[in-house]
Amino acid sequence: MEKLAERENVRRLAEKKHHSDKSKKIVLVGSPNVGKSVIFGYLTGQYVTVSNYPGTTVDVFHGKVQHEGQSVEIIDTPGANSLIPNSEDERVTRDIILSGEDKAILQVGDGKNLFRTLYLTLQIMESSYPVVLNLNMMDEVKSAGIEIDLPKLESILGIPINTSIAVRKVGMDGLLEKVLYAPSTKSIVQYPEVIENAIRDIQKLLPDNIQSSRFVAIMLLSGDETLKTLLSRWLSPEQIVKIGEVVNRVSATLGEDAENVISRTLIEKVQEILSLVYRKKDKSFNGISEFLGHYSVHPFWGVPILLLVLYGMYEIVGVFGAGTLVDFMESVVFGEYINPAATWLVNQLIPFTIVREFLVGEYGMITMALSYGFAIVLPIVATFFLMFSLLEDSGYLPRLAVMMNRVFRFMGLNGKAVLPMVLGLGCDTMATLTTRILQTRKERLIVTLLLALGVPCSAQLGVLLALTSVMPLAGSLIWLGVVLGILFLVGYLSSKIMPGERGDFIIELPPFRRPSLMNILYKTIARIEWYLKEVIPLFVLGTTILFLFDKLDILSAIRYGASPIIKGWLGLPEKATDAFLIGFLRRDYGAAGIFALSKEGLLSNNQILVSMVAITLFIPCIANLLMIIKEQGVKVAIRMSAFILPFALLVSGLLNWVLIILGIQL
Amino acid sequence: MSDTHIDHILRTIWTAREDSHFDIPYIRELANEGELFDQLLAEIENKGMIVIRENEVHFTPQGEYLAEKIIRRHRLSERLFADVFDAAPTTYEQLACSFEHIISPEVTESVCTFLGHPKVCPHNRPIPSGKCCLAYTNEIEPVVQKLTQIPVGENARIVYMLPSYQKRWKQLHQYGLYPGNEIKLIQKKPSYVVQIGETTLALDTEICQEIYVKRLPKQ
Ligand SMILES: Nc1nc2c(ncn2[C@@H]2O[C@H](COP(=O)(O)OP(=O)(O)OP(=O)(O)O)[C@@H](O)[C@H]2O)c(=O)[nH]1
Ligand SMILES: [Mg+2]
Ligand SMILES: [Zn+2]
Ligand SMILES: [Zn+2]
Repeated sequence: MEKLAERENVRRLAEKKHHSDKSKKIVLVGSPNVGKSVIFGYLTGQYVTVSNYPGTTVDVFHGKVQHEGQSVEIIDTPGANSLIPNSEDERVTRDIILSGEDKAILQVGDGKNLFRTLYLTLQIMESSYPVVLNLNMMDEVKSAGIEIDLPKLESILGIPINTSIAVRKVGMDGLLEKVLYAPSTKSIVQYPEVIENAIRDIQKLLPDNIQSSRFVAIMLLSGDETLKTLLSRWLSPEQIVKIGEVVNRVSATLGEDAENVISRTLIEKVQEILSLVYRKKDKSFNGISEFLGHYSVHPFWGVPILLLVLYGMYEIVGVFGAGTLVDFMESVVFGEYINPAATWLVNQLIPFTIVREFLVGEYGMITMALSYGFAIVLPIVATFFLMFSLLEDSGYLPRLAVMMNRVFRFMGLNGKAVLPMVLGLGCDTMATLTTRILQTRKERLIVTLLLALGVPCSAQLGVLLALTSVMPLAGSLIWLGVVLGILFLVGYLSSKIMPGERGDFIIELPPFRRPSLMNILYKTIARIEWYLKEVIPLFVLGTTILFLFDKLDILSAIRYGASPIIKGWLGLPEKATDAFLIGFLRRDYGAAGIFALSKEGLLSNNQILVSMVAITLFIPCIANLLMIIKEQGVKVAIRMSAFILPFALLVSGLLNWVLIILGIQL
Repeated sequence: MSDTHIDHILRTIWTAREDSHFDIPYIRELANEGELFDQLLAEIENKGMIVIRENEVHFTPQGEYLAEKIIRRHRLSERLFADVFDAAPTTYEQLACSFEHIISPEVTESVCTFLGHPKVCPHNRPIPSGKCCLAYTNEIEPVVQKLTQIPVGENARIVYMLPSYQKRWKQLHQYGLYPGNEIKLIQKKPSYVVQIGETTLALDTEICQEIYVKRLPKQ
């Protein structure tokens, strides 16, 4: 015994020495929504978004830690049910595993869903990298009455297993060491002879420098289309043809596709393991979580619950945030203190009129940029993020998908698209990235377009809500109706025009979980930080531009030039041109401009309505455009913008004329 | 030559055709009858069941009719042994090979009805439909039925799945939707929601129509 331990120590030391040469990589892999990002946060001390729905992480995050003098890179990946990707985010994860460096894999799995966890484990183990399996959510495992024979599982799989309750930091000590010292793995799955032979044949055709050639061979036999681009980088066309021949031959011999046999073998192996280690006793009824889980998607009760959620959001964000808080910030904090004080101070200290005006004039930094940014938008954004984080962490969002699936089908989408669309209410840029969870390119394009066209982000939504409060209810309803109608129409038409298919509606509904206050605060603060860093500077920039244009007398020229559109077509006062001008930078800033105009009493209710519709559908913000370029390419971004701008003006102008012709005065 | 051999060759030609193969070498390899193969092929041609053109085999209408019947019997037998008797693939294939020759048309229809008129064999190849399938209505509750046909709140065991395309199949497998596993139907509206183990999934109606289950008695 002792000797063995000693040998183990020597080996570890040797390995450690070897490892310290370069930084070691640890990749976190696992099904969606199992707690990878929580564990990433624990290991690296770096916060990445954690939410209770599958598809929170859609991009790769890197973090560095020092461990006994060696630097370790930890990588958080999008959740993947299988290493044969079904969507873009799963593909990101697969590509990380295939990328050639020396790495260890920390698989995070939901202990309750051992079937799915092990299905993935067996796939990962084919890669021959060191693997540690961390069974998370052990609290829920216990309350579901599930027992897992861990020592047995460990000996069957031949890899180290760790158990944890990540949110409570239970079972996390020593996890890093476990992964760092994990040995390389050997596959424990034996495929039928024909397949094993084919694997070897393909391995021979692959270039030598591929570490996980068995893994790649199995993926190829599984008919993984997405590997083709990678393959063409490694191999000549003739070699690719040869591989194709091997795959076909196997299918011919088996009388069915190789992938069926592979997946069946895996599943049978998992079931065999489960029968040995997994036992479910009678479980206790898990009160509230199950109750909510059931009724929030109930054919009847689902709707009132949805309305209640919306009403709650409206009360807190629309009434409290956009009303009470904004009033307070605007009329008290800025109106009574900051603006007068700043004006007085500036007038006292600064002799140059032009600088004074730049700071506290009509287009002043303090009087315009900062008071819009902090007095009007910030309170709304903050309350919205708070509520939104609460929703995200509860587990309600995927259930919205169940409620909305039918509606979305009209737009060539399925309920899954609810997630990016709703996230767009937080930030369209992040939401555009989240379209990765959708299966087909067609769906991704449609959702990207709808987000860019008419889903107001939190900041804009807030200002729009503030605007609705100065208008009669009918006006607000018309605005809502027009925007929803347009989204629907554009979605419907583009689903008819664009080629391609609708993806399958298959979405996992996680259990309702009690949101953790810390996580909600973290997330809200992180998002407010984003707002301060990304949005306020653009406000400053926009104000500077307006200021310069004004001073150089360009503004009046632009107003004059735009007057046929702004005055003639939209029926707005010339001064509204400024708002649309800064709207090019950010729609919310433009909306804030309109809000200011309305406060000055320069807009009639009809004009408020028309400009609200115009600014809601206006061009997406720069960050969002950049994201569209990154995800879909420049061409798509240009085409979308070229459609959106004229279309926004067309719709709002039509609304203006319809109101005039019908003689409606709100 | 015995009928069983001829049946086998006809079945092989049919299967090859499903994969768009008509050439004799391919069929020879698939049939795996060794020396006998050419003799058998010639005999079948003589009986007017097939024609051979440019080294390719094509059914005559008569041959096609017979082959369809054999394929139907074979694949239904496979289903029977796989689903009802939980036989392993090698076993049910062997059993089906003998069973296909002995079941009468009446028995075939009964088996088909008993199984709920399945559309594919365990290898996911189509089963030609028979008279019983055309007359198939909901009069008697078949042992195996679509997930969409069982009442809300029921537990059932997945017997087989008939996805319209491969990718969908793989995706469902990963969530544990797999023949043999237990599934509970939670609701049908506004969307289908099912539970497999500890996983709750929302699914399109179309997908649920492709999942065939056997209802389990209430515990
Ligand atoms: N009850 C319980 N909940 C947990 C545990 N670990 C994580 N969670 C919750 O599970 C949810 C998902 O956590 P994430 O870390 O975002 O999961 P992920 O694997 O990164 O998810 P994706 O990025 O969507 O793939 C969050 O609501 C967490 O609070 C745990 O041990 N027990
Ligand atoms: Mg994550
Ligand atoms: Zn078959
Ligand atoms: Zn039938």
